[in-house]
Amino acid sequence: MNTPLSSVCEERVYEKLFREYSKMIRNFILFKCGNAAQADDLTQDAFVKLWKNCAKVPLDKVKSFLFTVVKNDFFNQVEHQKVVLKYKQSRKDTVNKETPEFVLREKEFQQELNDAINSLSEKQREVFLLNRIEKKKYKEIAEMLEISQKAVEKRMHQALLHLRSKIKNYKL
Amino acid sequence: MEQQYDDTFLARWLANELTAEELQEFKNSEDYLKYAQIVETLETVETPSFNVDENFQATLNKLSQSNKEQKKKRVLPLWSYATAASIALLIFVYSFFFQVTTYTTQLAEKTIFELPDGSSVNLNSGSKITFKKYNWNKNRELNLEGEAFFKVKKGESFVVNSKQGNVTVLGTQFTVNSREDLYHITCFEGKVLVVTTKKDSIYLTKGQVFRLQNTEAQEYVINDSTPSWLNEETTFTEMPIKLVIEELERQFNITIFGKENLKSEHFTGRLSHKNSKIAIQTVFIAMEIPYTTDANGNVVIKNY
Repeated sequence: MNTPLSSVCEERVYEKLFREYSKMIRNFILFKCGNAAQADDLTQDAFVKLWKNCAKVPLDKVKSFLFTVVKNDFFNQVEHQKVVLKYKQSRKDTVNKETPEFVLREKEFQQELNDAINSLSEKQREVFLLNRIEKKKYKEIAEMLEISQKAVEKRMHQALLHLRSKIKNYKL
Repeated sequence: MEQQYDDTFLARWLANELTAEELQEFKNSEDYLKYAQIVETLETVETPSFNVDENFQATLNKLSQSNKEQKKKRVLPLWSYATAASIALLIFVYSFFFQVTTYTTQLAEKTIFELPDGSSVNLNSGSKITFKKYNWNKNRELNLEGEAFFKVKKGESFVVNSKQGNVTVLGTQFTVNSREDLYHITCFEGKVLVVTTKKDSIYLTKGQVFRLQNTEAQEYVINDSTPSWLNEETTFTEMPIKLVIEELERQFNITIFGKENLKSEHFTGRLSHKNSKIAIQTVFIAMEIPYTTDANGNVVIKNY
């Protein structure tokens, strides 16, 4: 029998895994639940479970273990909150457009986009935000969610269609 | 409008997987700018920051919290128990397999003890025995500095190592006296094999004595059935006076000054361990050595 070189039960390994995966797990769940504090909490809980089951989880199964745990925990939490996206200063702050009117219009658009994103189905939203904000490739998302890459692409497509149809006031 | 796209078209657009033609056509459509605006605006979205260190600490806190709540109230994480257990195991293994047992007698002190197989050892003054308890019955071997009397139970060979050589027996009674300038083996029962470090070997049977003093080897016979020092006496046979004086020092924990003045003579006789005055007299008067004693019982040898 092959014995693994290192086990999750080693504190050193555990900490390394935390540093490697915690942020990804947290953002993943953040796009589902929309609340940073709740996402942090769920992430910590997932890692607590990982430690308690360290002997049963082989190193190459850690990532999917964490995703599964965090997903289940999320479904168990009653409070589903809406995603609130925070926008940075627009990068298109060229002199021409940096008028009060432009800024206001952009703010309005951001608000509309935010509402539209919240009206996406949860499945569409998590895929869409993982790709657009976390910059995950479709293949990576497929692995995370344990669905096919084709399914990811379909959800992306549907999400964009949905967003376009929801937003009324385009800047241009 | 939407019908003209297949069900992953926009996904492929985002991943830059459209063909040049498809892209051109899409850019000409009236919806293109809307999609572009959505995607562009999302580029400016920030996720709330995530502090890995703080969250790791929080996770550890939760862990210790939940461990406290658990039935056994674990204060430390599991791995520390594992570490403690393995250290304990190491110490156990070490002490079991490698630990050396030591018996020592100070000056003017004698002791008796049993070895793991029931063999007994009488240790005379100023002596030391070390051995390993592990697997003693299969490997009866010990190290001796000084003098000891062994009553060996029958069994595997029994070896006494000392500076000048080793003594191997199967089950018998014998003494080994290994001092600075003296190697003295007396066999009281059975048969022993003496092998000196110079590879001389000699068998001793009941009553036979082997003595190596510096490089001079001697053999002789005695009638005693046990070593005299077990009966609070020491018997000397043709023993150089210097070694007799040293034995006096050991037995009574005294210092004898002026040893360098001693002439090269030999002493034969018995010394009692009970009274230092009488013992000193026995040696010094018999050998006609002039001496005085001080308040502490130490002896000063005069020139003679």
